[in-house]
Amino acid sequence: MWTWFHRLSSPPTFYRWGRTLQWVFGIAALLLIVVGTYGGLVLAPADYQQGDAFRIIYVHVPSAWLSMFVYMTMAVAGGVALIWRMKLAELFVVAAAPIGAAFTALALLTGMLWGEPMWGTYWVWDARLTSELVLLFLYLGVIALNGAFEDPRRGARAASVLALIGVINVPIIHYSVEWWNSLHQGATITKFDSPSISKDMLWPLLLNALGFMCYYGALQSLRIRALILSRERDARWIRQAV
Amino acid sequence: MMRIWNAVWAREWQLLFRQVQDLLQPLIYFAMVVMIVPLGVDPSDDALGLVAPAIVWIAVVLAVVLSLDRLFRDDARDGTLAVLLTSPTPLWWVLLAKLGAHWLGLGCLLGLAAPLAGAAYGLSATASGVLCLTVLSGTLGLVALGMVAGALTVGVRNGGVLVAIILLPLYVPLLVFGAGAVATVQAGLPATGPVYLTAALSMLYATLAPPLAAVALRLSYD
Repeated sequence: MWTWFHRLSSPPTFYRWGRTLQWVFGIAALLLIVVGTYGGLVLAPADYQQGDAFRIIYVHVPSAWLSMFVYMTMAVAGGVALIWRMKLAELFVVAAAPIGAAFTALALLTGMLWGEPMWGTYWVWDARLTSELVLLFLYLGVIALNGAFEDPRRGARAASVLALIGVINVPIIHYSVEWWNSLHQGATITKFDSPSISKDMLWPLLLNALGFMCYYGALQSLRIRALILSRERDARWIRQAV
Repeated sequence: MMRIWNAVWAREWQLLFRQVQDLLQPLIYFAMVVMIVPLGVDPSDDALGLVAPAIVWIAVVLAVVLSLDRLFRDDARDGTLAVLLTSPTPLWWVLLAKLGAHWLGLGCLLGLAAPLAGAAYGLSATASGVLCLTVLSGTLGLVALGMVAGALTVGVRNGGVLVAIILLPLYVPLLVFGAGAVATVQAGLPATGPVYLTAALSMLYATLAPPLAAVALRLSYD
């Protein structure tokens, strides 16, 4: 039943169909982000309190969502890598960590740029800012651990274990820091309530979030294929594929 | 199972007593961190009392990170680890004994030293007592997480720095609740909540750590 899955996830096969994945995700990301950003920067009305400065949420919120989404996918891939010893899942973990770190850094940076005019300061030690910063350090730990081994497969497996420990800890960190302090505005978009954001402002945000997700998919396929190329450079099929 | 437990347990305690510097040096380091902070801030009781829980807890965290080296480094060097890995004993059982011995040794020392440091910073008797409690229970969680990090970096050159980088973000919840409990007492509120949370988190980490560390050790020896 699962043979098709194993076949698709062997490095040589993924090297081939990953190219398609990369293009599909890439084009979808381009379309969604162009439309979403146009909607956010031009069509959406200015906020009655924050003026035009609120428009940074069209980058800030999707990157913050992605910073957590990437960690989740990385941890799931880490579990798969450890349980079934799947090579592709190991590569997924290794490829995802820097992307996630970049999204986290982007979320922090855009948040700081927004915080300066709104709160009058670039940084406050509030719960959500702090747990995002901790998340960045968790990513950096995974990257550092992966790079510390001479054998890349061992590095990837160690990184998988660390990603799993991190994912157990992420909610605990979140709630502990929440208990510690909160000054950040509450979440405006929740699944269970009707969102407290106007529809004109919401749809570009959702489009951009989807676009960022596709961009992650494209980047991830590209990076995994690059990793396959460098790790399997001595294999015969590479010479035929390239 | 019990026979193996007793053997590992006895061996760990023997090692602790024979190489007592492995525990004393982190303790000395703890005392030095506690000593050096008042030199950098206003040494009046009010100012010190404000930062005391945080400083003592940070000193505890640093001391634990320093002590982790002895968990696996020597065992890896003299081949004990290879024997343990190839033996039919479940590895997590051995690691649980290791964790317990290391925690009882180091945790008790730090748990005794922490209220002394608190008193030196002018904490009230209750606050010092709560500090002692959270350090005693919190070090179990710190050592448990540290064991996994140590297991992950056994085969790595320059593993010490890496262990610190991996661990400090993971230590956030224990630090928040451990130091937070003392701050709650200082504010005149009952601290049972954060004290229980520190202990509960420690139990969670101590339960998860041995199997995860076993996986990590097997990875490094593949």
